[in-house]
Amino acid sequence: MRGRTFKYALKVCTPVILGYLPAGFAFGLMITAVGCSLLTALVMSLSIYTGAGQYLAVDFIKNNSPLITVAVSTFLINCKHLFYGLSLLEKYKGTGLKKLYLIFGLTDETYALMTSVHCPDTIDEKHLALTVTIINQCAWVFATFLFAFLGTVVKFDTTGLDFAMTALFLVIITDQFKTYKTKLPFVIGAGSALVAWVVLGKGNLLLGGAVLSVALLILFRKHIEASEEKEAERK
Amino acid sequence: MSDLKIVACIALIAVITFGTRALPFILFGRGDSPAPIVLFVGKYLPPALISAIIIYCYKDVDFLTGTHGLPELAAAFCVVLLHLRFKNTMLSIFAGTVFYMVVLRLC
Repeated sequence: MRGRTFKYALKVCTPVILGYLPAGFAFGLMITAVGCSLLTALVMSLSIYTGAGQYLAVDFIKNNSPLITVAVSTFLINCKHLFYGLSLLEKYKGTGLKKLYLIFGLTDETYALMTSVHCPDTIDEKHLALTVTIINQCAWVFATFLFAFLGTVVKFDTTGLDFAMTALFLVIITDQFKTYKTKLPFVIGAGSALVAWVVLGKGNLLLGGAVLSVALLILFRKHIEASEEKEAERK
Repeated sequence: MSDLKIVACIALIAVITFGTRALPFILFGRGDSPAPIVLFVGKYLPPALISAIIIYCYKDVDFLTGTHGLPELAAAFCVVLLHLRFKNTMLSIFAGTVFYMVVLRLC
C-alpha cells in the first residue's frame, strides 16, 4: 500500500519535479553568484521553501535591504497563501502533527496538485497528500543542491541570469492577466510601485509599492468589484 | 550583507512564509469565515503585487544610456509571447533567460 501510494504520488508530481529543476537551476546559480555558500542555499530551500520568495531573498541579500523591507515584502507576497489554506481546511483536518508539515510545504505547485489530483479509492488521501508534499520539497532541495554546488565549483559567467526572476514573474502575470477579468489591480500595483520609486527611491520601491497597493485596492474596492462583474458579463 | 544579517534574513523569511501558510488554518480551522474585506484583499492583492514586483525587477535597468533597456524589454516580450503560445512555465523562463543572456553578450 505504501509502495503504491509512492508510485502514484511520483506520477502526479512529475510535472512539478520537472518545473522545480529549472527554477532551482536559476536559484542555485544566483544565490552562489552573490557570494552565499552551498550550505546557505540548502538551508533556504529546507526552511523557507518558496520559489518567488527565495528569488527575492537573493535580491535582498545582494542589495543589503533593511530587515523591515524583507519582512513586509515577504508577508505581502505571501498573502495568496490565505486562499490556499482556505480551500484545504477540510482536506487537512485530522492529520495531527503531520499537518504542520503539510502547511509548511504548501507551495503554489503543491497547492495546485492538492486541489486537482484525484485520489484513487485504493490509496489513503491523507497519506497521498503527505507523500506529494515530501516529494515536491525533495525535488526543490535536490535542484537547489545540484545547481548551487555547480555554481560554487564552476565559475559561470552568470551575467544576465538574474533575468530568470523577471521571467518567473512575467509568466505569473501573463497567467493572472487571463484569470482576472478586471485589469485595475494591475494598474494599481504598477502605478503604486512607480510612485514609490519616484517618491521614496529605489530602496523602498517594493515596500512602498506594496503598502500603497493595499491602500488603493481597499479605496477602489467598489470600482474593482464592479469592473470584474462588467468584464465577466461581456464574456 | 553580513553573515549574521543573512541568517536573520533567512529566519525572518522562513517564519513569515510559514506564518502566512498557517494563518487560515489558525483563524478559520474552527469553521468561522473570513471578513469580506480580507477575502477581497487576498483575491486582488496578488496581481497588484506581481505588477509591482515586475517594476522592481526593472529598477536597475538604465533606460537613458547604454542599450536603453532594449535587451530587457525584448526578453520580456519573448517570455510573454512564448508563454501565450506554449503555456509552459519552464520553457518560457528558460528560453527567455537564455535569449537575454545571449543578447547581452552580442550587444
